[in-house]
Formats: sequence, C-alpha cells, structure tokens
Amino acid sequence: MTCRVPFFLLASFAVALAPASLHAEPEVKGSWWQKIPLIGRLISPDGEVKKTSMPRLKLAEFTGGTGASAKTGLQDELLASREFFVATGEETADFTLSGSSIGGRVNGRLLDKKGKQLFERSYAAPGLDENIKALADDVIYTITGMPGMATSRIVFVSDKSGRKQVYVCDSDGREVQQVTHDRHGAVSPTISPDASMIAFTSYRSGFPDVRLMDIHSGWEREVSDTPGSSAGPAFSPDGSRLAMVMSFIGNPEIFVSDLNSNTAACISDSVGAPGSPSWHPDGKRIAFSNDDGDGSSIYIVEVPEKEGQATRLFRWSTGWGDSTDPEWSPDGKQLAFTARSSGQWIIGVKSYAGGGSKVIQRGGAMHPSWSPNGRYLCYTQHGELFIHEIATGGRRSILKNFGRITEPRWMR
Amino acid sequence: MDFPTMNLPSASLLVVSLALSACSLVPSMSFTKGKDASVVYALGPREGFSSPLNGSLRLACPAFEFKGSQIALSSAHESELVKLAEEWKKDGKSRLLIAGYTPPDLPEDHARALSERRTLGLRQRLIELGIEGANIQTLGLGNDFSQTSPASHVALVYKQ
Repeated sequence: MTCRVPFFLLASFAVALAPASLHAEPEVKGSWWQKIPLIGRLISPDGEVKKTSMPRLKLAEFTGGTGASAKTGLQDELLASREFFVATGEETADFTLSGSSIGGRVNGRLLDKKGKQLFERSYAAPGLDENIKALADDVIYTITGMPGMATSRIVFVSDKSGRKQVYVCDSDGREVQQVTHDRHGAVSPTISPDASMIAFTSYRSGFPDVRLMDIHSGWEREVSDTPGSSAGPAFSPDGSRLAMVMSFIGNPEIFVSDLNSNTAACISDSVGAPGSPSWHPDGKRIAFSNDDGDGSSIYIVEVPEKEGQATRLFRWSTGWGDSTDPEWSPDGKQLAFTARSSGQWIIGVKSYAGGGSKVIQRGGAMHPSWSPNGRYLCYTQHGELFIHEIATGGRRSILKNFGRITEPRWMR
Repeated sequence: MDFPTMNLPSASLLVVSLALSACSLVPSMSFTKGKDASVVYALGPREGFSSPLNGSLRLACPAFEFKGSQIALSSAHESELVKLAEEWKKDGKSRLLIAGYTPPDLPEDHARALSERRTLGLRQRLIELGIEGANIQTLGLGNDFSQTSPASHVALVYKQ
C-alpha cells in the first residue's frame, strides 16, 4: 500500500533574520567593577575603593576522623568553582561553612554573616570525594543560585569498545562509566536536567531509534517506534519532553515528544536535513540545524504551547558557513555551535539574538556543550574531550586515549 | 484539509493524529524549492526489512554518489533510478532498503540528518517512478559506522 501524506505547512520557514524588535540585545546590568571576576577589591577611576559582588566564604573547622581531608577537599572544590573568595583564617566573611566528617560521611552547615543557618545537611554516599562534591555544589547553589560543577556529569560517545557506545564522566574526566552496551552501538546522548535519565539514539534493531534509560536502575524504554530514522534527542528544560528528528512522514523533521502522554508534534517544515535540536532555557524555543543542500544553517523555532497555535521559525546567522550543533547557554543569552572556517571545523559562540560572536576554538573542534553555570564549554577535538573556560580562553583536555570521543553533552 | 490514512506500526508510541492536526492548523509559508513537493510519501512499517548492520545485503544497483552538501538528485541519479524502477516492475514485489552514508569528517548529528535526507529523496523519486512506497524503507547511518561502511557521500540501495 502506498502511503501519501500532504506536505504539511506547519511553521513559517521564512528564511530571514529575526526582527530586532523580537529579540532585543541582552541587557548588561551592573557597574563596571562588578563585571570583573576574581578581584576582591578594586580601585575605581576616581580612586574610590570598591568591593566586588563576589562573596567571601570562610571554611571553618571540620571535626572528626576524616574532617581534615574533607576540609582540604572542600577547599579545592570551592576554589575551583571561582564563585567565592575562600578564606580559611580568621577574616570576616559573608558566609561560614563548618561541619564534621567521620568515615567518609560528611555533615555540612552553612551560616550567613549574621549567624543565621542557611542549611545543615548530611552526605552519606560511599566515598568521601562524592560527599565533598555534593556539599560543595549545595554551597554554591545556596549562595549564588547557580548550579555547581562538582557533581555535574558529561555524557559522550566513544568507540573504545569497537562500537560507538555512550559513556558518562564527571567534569574532570574521571569516574568514567559505560552506559550503553547496544549490539550495533548507541550515539547522540543527552542527559535529563535532574541527571536521572539518558536519552540516546540506539542502533539495537539495526535502525536508529531513540531510547530512554534510567541511569540508576538501567531500566530502558523506546521513545520512538516509527519507520525511517529517529535520532538526536534533546531534553526540554523541565525534562518532560524530548525534541528529536524523525522521518516517518517521509521527510526528516523536528518533533517534540511528550514523555508523559507519549504524543508527538512536528514543529519544523523542511525540505532539507534538520538535526541537532537544542532547547532554550525557557522551554519555548528550539534551535536546530538544517541543510537544504547548500550547507548547514541554524534555525530557531517557537514551540507551540497548545495544539493549533501558530509558531514562527527564523534563520539565525552565525556569520560562518556550515553551522550546526547549536546549544543555548544556561541563561539563554548565547548560542554555541560548530561551524566551518577556512575548511576547518571551529567552535563559535554568538549572543542571542544580536551582537558579536567569537571563535572559541579552531582546528577541528566540534560539538560544544555548556557547563551548568555557563562558564565553560566542553567539546571534542580529534577524538579528545576538552573543557574550555569562556572568560579566560584557558582549556584543558579532561579525557584522551579513550577511543575516539564524540558528541559530548553536559548535564544542564 | 483531507489527510489520507498513514500505515504506522500499531505499537507506535506516537499519537500521530496530534501531529497531523497541529500541522493542519498552523498558517505558514512554504520555502519549497524546485520540483513540486506538495506530496511526500510516508514510510510504511519496518517489519520484513533487514538492516545492513545485521548482515551483508545484496546491492540492487550502483551506489548513488553525492557531493558535499548536495541533496538534490542529479541527471545521473535519475537515469539509474529509472532503471531501478523498471527492474522492480518486473515482479512488482521486491523490497528495497536505501541506506545513506557520509564521510567521517562531518559532525555526527549533521551527518545522520544529511544521509537520511538523501535516502528519502531517492525513495520519493522511486515512488514517483512507480514503485510502491510500502516496499521502500530508508536508513540514515551518517558516519556512525565509518570503520566498516563507505567513507564517502553515498546512498546504497539494498535488495531485500
């Protein structure tokens, strides 16, 4: 039987730049000294001494048998976060962290300047290191409102086992674990916002299908069971939906699947090759790449909130050719992407919706993904996994000689 | 707008009607290029089709080569597709699987999308040439199997 489906005209695929009125230039708040990190006291041009907005955290006594080790580990984690000035002496501080550690368990208590308790929590994971990281991230989140990186995870693909499989590691490239063991391989992983689930493209059946796996129990289920190919899943910010590419209607299109109701709606209208969907943090827009035969470009589409709602779709110029792999920063003000410049793949970052862009890394770097606090990007270059600090340009390889690493995605 | 019924697997988790009704209600402009693409042919069930990942398959015709980001079909493709359609019409039953591949230097997700787009373009043309749509399945493998698959921009048509 021949199946015939009209070519749906779902969203306006007007190939145009977004009007300036729709996407205003991101507003920069604060005076000049507040934008400079890592300096405790600055002298303004008129000679006035100003304090930065960076809080001072005093690391007080940690009692117990492993208390000293816990304190040292915490100091390292908190310093590495670059969110505070960490004091261990008698200086006055905006916050004070104290606690105890016995046998690897950690108890932490955070007080503000007035002595008011902000939280007191116990951490009883099997390892001291794990407990320290959890406490450090709780301190960072409580004080700054931004997620810490110590407990964040990066999912990626490696062909180390002979087939492409999904792995997970921490933000230092340690604690590497193989997540999938699919017969023909698994690719394009993405991790849910609460880090409990991984969605990925599986070749288990011989055809690409999107599957969902509970990280802790290993329980899996198929999200797409449709003809053609399904690939490239991306979790919505609340974790309830997946954007992905499906081709069962005869065209590859971006679909949004509701994981609770198991329904899906098409949000693109392409005669090209759409892929790499990425959600805006507000959950109302998706960036994706599309190649209609003359190189890949990035498009942004609004996600309908209810059935029948009209949506708009815009082409968003990065300034480079062959732009793909877009990913929105956690604050939604920038997009990172892969593009081609002088025949080489590069990582670029550009403000959304207008403003400047810059090259983060040249020389074959691909597939950028933002850290939860938006300060770093991870990406691959020649099969190695890097993290790159945006502000300083400093980068380091966190995982190499682990097969060919591709498609890293940082937990959001 | 009148939508013909699509033949989808009963086990599908997707309620496609939601997608179809949403599609019909949203006003928009088409940016379709070239040939009339007002009708595309949905894919039928995958049951009965073998993936090249599950064993070696016999090629039905020479490889369809593409250049760079090319997705449109060329005159060379057209003549081969006409031959393939004529061959199919002799028995009118055989099944074809079209698998797309790309070189290993492309970003992986883009490679998958590009290879799938090409296979669907070939499928669409074969249907227009008279092959029944339910007998053609597609598979975009990009560069995921570059160690064992073609390392260039090609689509291979396998006879099932």
